[in-house]
Amino acid sequence: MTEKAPNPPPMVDIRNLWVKYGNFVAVRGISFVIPRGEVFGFIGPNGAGKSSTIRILATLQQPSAGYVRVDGVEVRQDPMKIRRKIGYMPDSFGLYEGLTVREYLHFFAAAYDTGEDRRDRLVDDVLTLTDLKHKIDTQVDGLSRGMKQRLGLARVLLHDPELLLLDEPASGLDPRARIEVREILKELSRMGKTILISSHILHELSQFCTRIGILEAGRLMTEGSLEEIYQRLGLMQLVHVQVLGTTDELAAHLRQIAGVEAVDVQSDRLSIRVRAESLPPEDLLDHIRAFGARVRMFQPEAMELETAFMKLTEGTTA
Amino acid sequence: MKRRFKMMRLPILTKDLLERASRKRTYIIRFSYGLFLFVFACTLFYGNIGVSAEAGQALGRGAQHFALLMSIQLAVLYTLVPILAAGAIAAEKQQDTLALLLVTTLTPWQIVLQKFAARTASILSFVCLSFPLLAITYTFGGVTPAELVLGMFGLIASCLQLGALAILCSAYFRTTAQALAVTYVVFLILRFISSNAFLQPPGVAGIIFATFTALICLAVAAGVLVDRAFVQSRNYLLEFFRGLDRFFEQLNVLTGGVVLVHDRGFLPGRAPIQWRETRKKSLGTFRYLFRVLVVLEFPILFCIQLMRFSTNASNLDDGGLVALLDMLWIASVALVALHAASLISEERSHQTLGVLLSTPLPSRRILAEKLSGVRRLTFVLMVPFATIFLFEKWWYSRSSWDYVVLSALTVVIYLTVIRWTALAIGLRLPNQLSAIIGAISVIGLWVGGLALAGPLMSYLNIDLPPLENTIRAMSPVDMILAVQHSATYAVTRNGALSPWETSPAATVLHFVFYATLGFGLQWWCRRSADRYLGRIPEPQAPERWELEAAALETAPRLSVNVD
Repeated sequence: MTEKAPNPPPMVDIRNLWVKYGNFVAVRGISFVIPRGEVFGFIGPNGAGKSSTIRILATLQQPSAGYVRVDGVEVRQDPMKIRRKIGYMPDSFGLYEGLTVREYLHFFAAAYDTGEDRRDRLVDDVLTLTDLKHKIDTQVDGLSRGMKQRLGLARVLLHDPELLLLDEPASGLDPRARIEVREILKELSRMGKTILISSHILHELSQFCTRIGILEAGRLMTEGSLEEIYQRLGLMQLVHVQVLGTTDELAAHLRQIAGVEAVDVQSDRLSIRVRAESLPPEDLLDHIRAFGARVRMFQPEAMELETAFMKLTEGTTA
Repeated sequence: MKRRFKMMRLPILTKDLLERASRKRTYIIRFSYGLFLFVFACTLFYGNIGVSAEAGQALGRGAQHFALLMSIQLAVLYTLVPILAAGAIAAEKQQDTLALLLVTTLTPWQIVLQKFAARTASILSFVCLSFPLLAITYTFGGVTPAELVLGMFGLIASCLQLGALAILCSAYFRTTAQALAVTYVVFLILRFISSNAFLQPPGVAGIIFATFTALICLAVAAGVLVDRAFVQSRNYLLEFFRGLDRFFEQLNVLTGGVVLVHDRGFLPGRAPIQWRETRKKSLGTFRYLFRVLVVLEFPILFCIQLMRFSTNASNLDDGGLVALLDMLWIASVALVALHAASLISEERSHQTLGVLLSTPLPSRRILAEKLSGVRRLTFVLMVPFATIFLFEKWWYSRSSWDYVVLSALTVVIYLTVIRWTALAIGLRLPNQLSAIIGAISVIGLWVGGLALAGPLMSYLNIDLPPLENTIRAMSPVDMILAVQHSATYAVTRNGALSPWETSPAATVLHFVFYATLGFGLQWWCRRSADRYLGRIPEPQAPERWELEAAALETAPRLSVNVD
């Protein structure tokens, strides 16, 4: 009988994390887990605490309270070990003036202590992946913003990290550059990297993130796979209904139905909040028809990431 | 309402003055300086004789008091005005806010004049602080009303001239640091053109010249404001050296490709930061440092040759060489302090530090490698020092090696202390400009304060010999001068003794103190590196978080946290 190997710890495990700057509380007791190989999208308005959380994972900042593990290692226990496992790309970063792309990447390859005999091949590989090979002898300060972002991605890949921490990697980029960065991230995801990415561009995140965390005012409003979040938010899915004739009686009837959370009688319609898992929209329609109402409009709100974000956040900051 | 309307017509001036008024440090600095000036003046006026019947002895001393107060005011003005004014427009460029001003209906003249008025208004309050004291010097006698009025106008004119020059540099250059450095250099040149006495107020011609140059500077600043609004940051020193590279490469065509110094190491090996500091920085690259060495060494060798071949009977006078030595000290301290203070703060300003700190390079190693360029610069600076010391040893034919050993100790120990002091300040302060100003201020106050405290105590008749002796014993400037004089006066004044010969214990104590200070700063920087660089330090001992973590291990996990 062979002994079963123990399950590896999740790549990121954050519990009850608090971050304070003097009297200002940036992060208020958030907890979440990122399993290996997942692409975790970190969403939130400016000042929500995303960058603070990412900086702690990058070992650049002490948590005020709580517990942050990367691959089973607490950030305060062995930060040097964590630095070897992560690739960190901050939201705004500078590039050393006077260096070429080749020199810049060799600089960081040396900083990660990779063997000198391997560096040429590594640099070649990451430049191929980020489509910058033709710029290898260009000065880094002469690159366009999109190219600088791709060079930043090439840098974080040099030491083959298990976890990529990308803080707003697509901010300020033109549409073409954004698409290029997105394609690189998809490729990295296919390569099995665990990625924590914060962004404001929700539509793009929804295309390749396997899990999402929505942060506002330092609080994690929700976290889980997209399906889980949709389902969770679907518990209170909004359905707009227009019927002919009196609506008050219909509203009173609907309130009796299991799964209907609330019915709001408006001037031209009923806004019905339903728990989708116990009362799908099609069943609600059947109930309305069974009541004898003639339906002019039946419109369940489409649940997209942007809708979820807008529903969960109020635009407040910590 | 009418007043508000008037204020709104000067929006930049209003904003700048409100910003300054809301800062606590504005009042702290003004109060501290006012307190210093008035306590100093009271000591000056009444310290010697009090207000007793012998007060009549002070009559006629007004001219001395007046000159001293004017010197202090001018020294403060020369230091503070560029610091206050150089960032006026350059900071707007760095924060990308100048464009917002340019798209308003404000003309370049209005922007420049309002910036100028805002920055000089606060410094004029410093100037006005001394007016009552200057008036008191008049009551002592020795100062005419015309001199008094001229002195006051001279102070104001100097303030306006320097402020306008700083505004011009601020409008022209991209960064505050560049504007600040160029302001100081150009102002020194202007002062030498207009007057020989540096810390004396300008006369009538000087006031006219200062006012005229201030107007010219403001006009040029308004003229270049738009053209230079979006200029990119440039490293002028590096560009100058690269220009020289191209020139020498062209010359090499004629000489058949002679290369004296080959820069080895095309790509970083095992020490990437050291590679960058010594390969890619203007004050770290060997080839460029060699040029700095030539610039420093050439006048020294020239002066030595003049002394050697002089047929004059007073050829033992080494005044020219001593002047060069003084300039070498000032240049060395400034270069080492600027370079060391910029090491970390530059990475912060350029937003490259976060990425570097996320690599597994230990913080101590980052500091050590960062300092490699400064160490190399220090070694290069030691060559002209050694040239002067060895020449003087030979020239004055001193039998003992005291002079050379003590001189070498001053260079090695003081430059090491300055290197670590500037690095420590750069570690603590958030940006390059504040780090440079902080380092220069701390070093200037320390060195200048100790050098001036002794003479000032004598001047004020403060009779505390133990304190005065201790201050003189700890003063680096006094030590340098004492060592220098021991060489020169050995011949010219019948054998002046070196500090080692006069007081070996005090000499040893002096160097031990500064060596310990250097090691202490080095230890502190390495120990505090993680904390001040901004990364999680290596664990030293079990901490509170470990207990919390243990408690959380047993607690049920929440995947979603909803308050």
